[in-house]
Amino acid sequence: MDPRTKLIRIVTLLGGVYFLVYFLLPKSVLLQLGIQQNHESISNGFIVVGAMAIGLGLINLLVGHGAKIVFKRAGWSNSAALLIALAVMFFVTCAQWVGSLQSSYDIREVQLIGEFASRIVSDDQDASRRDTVPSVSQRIGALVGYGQSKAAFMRQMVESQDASLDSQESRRALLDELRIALNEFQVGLDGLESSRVASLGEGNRAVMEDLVARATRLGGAYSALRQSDQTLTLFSRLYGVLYDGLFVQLGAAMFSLLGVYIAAAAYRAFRVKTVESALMMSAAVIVMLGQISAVFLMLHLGSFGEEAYRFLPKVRQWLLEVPNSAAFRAIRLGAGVAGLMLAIRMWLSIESKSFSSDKRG
Amino acid sequence: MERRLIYLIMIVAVAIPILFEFSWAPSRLVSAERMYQVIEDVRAGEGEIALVWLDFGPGTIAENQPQAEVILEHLFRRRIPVVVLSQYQLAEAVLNSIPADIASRLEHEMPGQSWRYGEAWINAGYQPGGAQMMQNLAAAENLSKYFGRDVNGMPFTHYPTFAALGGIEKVKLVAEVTGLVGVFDTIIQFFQKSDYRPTLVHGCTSITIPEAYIFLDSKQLHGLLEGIAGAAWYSELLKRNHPESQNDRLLVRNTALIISHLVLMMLIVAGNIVGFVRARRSSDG
Repeated sequence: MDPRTKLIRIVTLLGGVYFLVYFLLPKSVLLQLGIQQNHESISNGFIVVGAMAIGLGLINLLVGHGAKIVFKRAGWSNSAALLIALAVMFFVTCAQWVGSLQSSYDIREVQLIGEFASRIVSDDQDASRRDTVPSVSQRIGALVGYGQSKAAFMRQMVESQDASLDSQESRRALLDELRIALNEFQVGLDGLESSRVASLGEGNRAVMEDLVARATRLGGAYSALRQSDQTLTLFSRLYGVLYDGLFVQLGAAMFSLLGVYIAAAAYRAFRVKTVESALMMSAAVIVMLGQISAVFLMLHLGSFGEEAYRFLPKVRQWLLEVPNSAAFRAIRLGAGVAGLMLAIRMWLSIESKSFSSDKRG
Repeated sequence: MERRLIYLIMIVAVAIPILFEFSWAPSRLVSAERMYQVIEDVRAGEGEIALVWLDFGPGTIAENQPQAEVILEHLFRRRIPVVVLSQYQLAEAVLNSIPADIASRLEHEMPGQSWRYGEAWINAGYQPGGAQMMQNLAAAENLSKYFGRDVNGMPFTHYPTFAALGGIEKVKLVAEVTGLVGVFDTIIQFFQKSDYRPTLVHGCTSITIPEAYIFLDSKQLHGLLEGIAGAAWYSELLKRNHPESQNDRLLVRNTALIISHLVLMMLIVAGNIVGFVRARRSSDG
């Protein structure tokens, strides 16, 4: 056995032992051993190892299909199409994600104004925190300065967008909402600045709470506009075309083939030849009729239609809950036992012949 | 020739309601009714949330998207904060688009009210790790800390509604929508503690209905949406309680499904008649 095979087997065994021990030992013992405290980090480590499979898959694709293209083997054009699609989708997705990340940070910076104002009030009410933070006047000064700079930035943005805005009604509404929220916020901020608040009495606290409300509205309006802007960026649109316009449609088209195949199978293979096949067909027809029982009401069949509408869903429900559940439980129990056996074989490296030098040799 | 004719019949049957946009009433499904009641009964206090797993991608979007829409619409209407996330990497696009579309539709329906990202819902994105991740999630004492950041890279703590979520006990409802096998089982098996198991509802494709029923029967699952038919009946219940709710497109899709079921049954009958006649001829000959 070569050292690599040995290492893989040891790591596999230890991994299995860890989870077995974690499952069997009581929590108090796990705490004493220091396992409980570190379990999340350890299992996250296992998840990271699993996630590496994505990178491995990527390398595998590049090597396999890259070699096909370089040596112009049969079907190299398909490989080229795959790698080009991979590269384009990767680039567009990354660009779209970076754009959306930037947008989120910008939104967050505006939302912080309201939260900071709210924190000033709550810290002042909490005697244990009051002395650990800068004075109220200092913090309000910082709040006003930060609020003014953000307000100026947003005003500039509103003006530039206003000038270039096309006739989109929904975007104009968002822009108008932001403009109103911005004006209200400015009034609140000017009021706070002129009152030169040094401490938070009843009156000043009301002023601060009013500013919190105005800042929250401003944050909401700005967030709505930026999120709307984000959907209109070049990379968001490209992503929409590639994902929704191409990938989703191709995937749906593949699955839709199932519908026509089932139709052909129903005609050609669902033949009553034995008692068992007759039972199976009856069950299938009843389940289908139960699922579309409203048809009986629409056909105006009188009391027969009403009875069928009431009765068929109940029979369908019974078929699914009783005979179907019994059969499926048996299947799952069998599969579960088989899965357990397979897991034990993998744990003890009985199944991992592919890592062994014996096979290669 | 026979096979091509069957394909053509099926395509025409599905296309007619979609092209002419007509719809029939959906059929009553008990499992969807149970699910409606379960979500209606959820009481979420401060810091309590619903976890909605959207574990589907382009392949089953036709069936799973309507289910995700009705579940999210109901939760949004009830003002229950939602964390959307997925165990399936291809779900990334639907995690972004579905809640945003529902929020926009509700805002349009009810001017003056808002459902905003970070308040009504948050997107925790793709969560890799399967069973291992699910166990960690269930054991986490602070879900905000566990998730860390949303899909846009913003810390959960920056959104007041989701800043201090607490542990699994704060999850009042888990909803899972998928067409994949083995994904839903992970939640049933591992998303629980010895003294707490959140209410669980599930939306599945028609193919996986039989498997889901064993959990419904054992009460590990509290509500089930069976394919488009389940979503259609659920949307009908939403419409009865909120007449302004829009479900026309879903009913058109459901009508296509009803017609395809009828065609399928006719094909079974026709196949048997043809088979019987051929068998008679060959035995006579």
